Amino acid sequence: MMTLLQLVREHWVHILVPVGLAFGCYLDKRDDEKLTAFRNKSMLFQRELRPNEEVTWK
Amino acid sequence: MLKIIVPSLMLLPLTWFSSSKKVWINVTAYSFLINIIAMTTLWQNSDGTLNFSSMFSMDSLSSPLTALTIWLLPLMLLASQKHIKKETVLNKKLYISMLVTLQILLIMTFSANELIMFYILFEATLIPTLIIITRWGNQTERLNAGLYFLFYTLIGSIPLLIALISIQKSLGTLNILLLSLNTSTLDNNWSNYILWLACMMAFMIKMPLYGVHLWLPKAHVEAPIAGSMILAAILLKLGGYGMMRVSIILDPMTETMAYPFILLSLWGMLMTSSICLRQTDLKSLIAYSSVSHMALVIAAIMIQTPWSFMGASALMIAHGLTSSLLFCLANTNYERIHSRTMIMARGLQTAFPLMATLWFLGSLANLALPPSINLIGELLITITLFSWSHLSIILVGTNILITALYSLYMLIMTQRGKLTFHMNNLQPSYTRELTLMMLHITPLILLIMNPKLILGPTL
Amino acid sequence: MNPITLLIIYFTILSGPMVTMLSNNFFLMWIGLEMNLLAIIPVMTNKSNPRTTEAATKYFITQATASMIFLLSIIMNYKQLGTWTIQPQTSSLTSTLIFISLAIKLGLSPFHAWLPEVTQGIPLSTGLLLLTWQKLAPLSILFQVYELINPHVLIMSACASVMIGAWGGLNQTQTRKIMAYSSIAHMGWMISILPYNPSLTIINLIIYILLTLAMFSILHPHSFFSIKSTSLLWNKSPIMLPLMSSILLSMGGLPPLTGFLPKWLIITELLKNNNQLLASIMAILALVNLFFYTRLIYSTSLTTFPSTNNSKMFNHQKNMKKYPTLPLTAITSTLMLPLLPLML
Repeated sequence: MMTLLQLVREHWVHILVPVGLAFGCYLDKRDDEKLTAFRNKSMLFQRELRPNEEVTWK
Repeated sequence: MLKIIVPSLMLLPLTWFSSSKKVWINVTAYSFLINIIAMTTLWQNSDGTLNFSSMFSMDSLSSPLTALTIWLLPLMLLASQKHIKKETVLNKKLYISMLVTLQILLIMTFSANELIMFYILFEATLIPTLIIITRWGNQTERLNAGLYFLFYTLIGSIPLLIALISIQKSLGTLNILLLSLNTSTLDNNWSNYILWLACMMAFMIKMPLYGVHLWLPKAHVEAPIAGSMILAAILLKLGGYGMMRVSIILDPMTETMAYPFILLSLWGMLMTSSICLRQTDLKSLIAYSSVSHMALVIAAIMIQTPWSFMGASALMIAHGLTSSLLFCLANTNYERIHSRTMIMARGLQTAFPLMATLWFLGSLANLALPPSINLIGELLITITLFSWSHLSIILVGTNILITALYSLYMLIMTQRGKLTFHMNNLQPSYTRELTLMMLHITPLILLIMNPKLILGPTL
Repeated sequence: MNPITLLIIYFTILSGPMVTMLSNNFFLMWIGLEMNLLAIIPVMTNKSNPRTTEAATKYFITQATASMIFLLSIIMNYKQLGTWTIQPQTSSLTSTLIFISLAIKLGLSPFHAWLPEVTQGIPLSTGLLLLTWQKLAPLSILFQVYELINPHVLIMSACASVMIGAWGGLNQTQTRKIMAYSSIAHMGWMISILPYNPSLTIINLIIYILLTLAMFSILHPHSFFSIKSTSLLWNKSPIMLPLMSSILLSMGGLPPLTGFLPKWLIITELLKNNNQLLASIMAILALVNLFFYTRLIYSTSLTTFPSTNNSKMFNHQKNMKKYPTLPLTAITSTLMLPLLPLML
């Protein structure tokens, strides 16, 4: 138990950059969704929705 | 975009929370890992723009420069370990944070969508660079060099700010993606001449153009190794990048306004390479060779043909890697000889045969020998200059000759001859240094396999 | 000074500008100015020595002259219009006189000469008061009457102040004088935008006050009076080094820092009104200011020893006053540029 705690204390910094990457990917994805949310509203990029597909722009 | 910026930001807490023994290895390792993410942006399939968000986008012009920036951070860390070995842990961490901050700012500069944001970040890169040069340089002249660096850039960029704001007033936007759709053209009148000058001068000082280049040798000579590397490899390219970006707005003006600047850069290219021939200071020689190479880039951007843009962006990447490599090599010499004077460091070939090979490869890359990407850049630029004016071949041809001469002069002065008597206590090359050089040379040679990656906007 | 006197004096210093700011009556504004002036004189001479007496005398004479000119102009205004309130029919002579009096109060060029002298003569804390709080009352009057004043006069004075603030500070080695000249330059920026968009004047004033407060909260506890003495900062409190350099760069208006914000907005506004020449002149002259801030940065943080101090020189750190304002002002005065959209 103690060794585990010690390991965590010594090596916790390694989590920082992967967490940053995950967070960055998440933010990017959210931003993409925000930018493309209107796609079913636009006349130009509209397409037929599949049967159980929800509209992205309400 | 945030998937590159946020991990780079996390390098800062990583630096400060790592135990003092592991600072270097942690930051270097993770900055290499960030490279893997950045490499994906090099894939520019349709020559369109990768829109990351409403603020950041990347196209085939900015992605190689961004990739180069990210590539250089671990290399700078590798290169400067010896230089600040004797500093306290706090100072080391501060130094690393400055380099990381510079990287974040540069990534954002290259991918900024809005020209005002580009301007703000372009200026923001001055602060960490100034601190790196004046805080960690070696001699007292570094203070003067820092002032030169700061004020040359600022005096050029204040007219740029004013020009950008007045363009925003007249066009209503400064978004790069929207500006390319702009159809209004500038008339030939005095206020537009001034507008053109204001837009271009900042970048020409940054490049630097011959005549306003005096800050560069000073800054390069006085900066610590990481400062020289980032200055030569990225910060000068900010100028070229900015010129290509704003030339969209200044569309028909460049034809008439470009002549004096093309002439000045061609003439300056000859002058600076001749200065290289009689240099005694190794770092100064490499700095002047940067000025001479950048003059080619300025001339190419001014001509404004698709081929010349391709040549300019290829030469920017190639020169980034080459000059950074040469500064690293000069620094390994400096760390052993404790002098930048070439005559003090003769005959190193007998002491470090492997390093001499790397010196050889570096010099060959500098004079644009075939398997390196420098060749593509110089070749494209020479061809476009020739088609612009046949007489230019005299200047460009002479310059290629002088470049070969001073590259060989540098190689022979440092590597050949006998070891001098004061060099009896040389440390062997570290694996760290050899790795560092290989990490420069490998992309320089491998990129010839697919030069489209660095050719910028190929039309 | 005994506590009750001190309380009364500081209360008067606080309430004077309040009276000026809250009234729309010229006479009450004048009363507020006078209250403030009379109360600050004892604070200036608190530590009595020839320098403070001289400074207080200079301050009193200039300010009293300004107050008299102000009184004269408002009485002229009363005689012509029969009212003490601000009226658009005010004659140009009256409004110019009002501007002259306020320019003397603010230390605007060509009436700037007293400001560096007075600031140099008084203690740092009073200097802070002089360079920040004392600007509020005259600026609030200017903010109300700017429409009456000939814009050419305002712009000429602003341009001259920026020039004086830049060139005057170049040759200084005393931190208080440097701060005074930087104040003159900032006042020039504020006045330049007054005829076009006075709300930017207020934004600029707020940021200027934040910057000055942050700067003085480093200078005051360490008693830094000259550039030479600032080079001891690395020894006294190393953590201040990056703070001080970033605050100074922000004062110089280098882009990613807060100091760039008012300059950017002002340049934009000036260009919208087709005043490219003034914008260029002021922006270029801001570089001269940056130059002497850079000298301060060099002496504090960029030429320090490579290692920390190992000797037992900590005795002078024990009694150091800590400024509670420093963390807040240091952060707001350097990192506020991204908050720009919230401020417009």
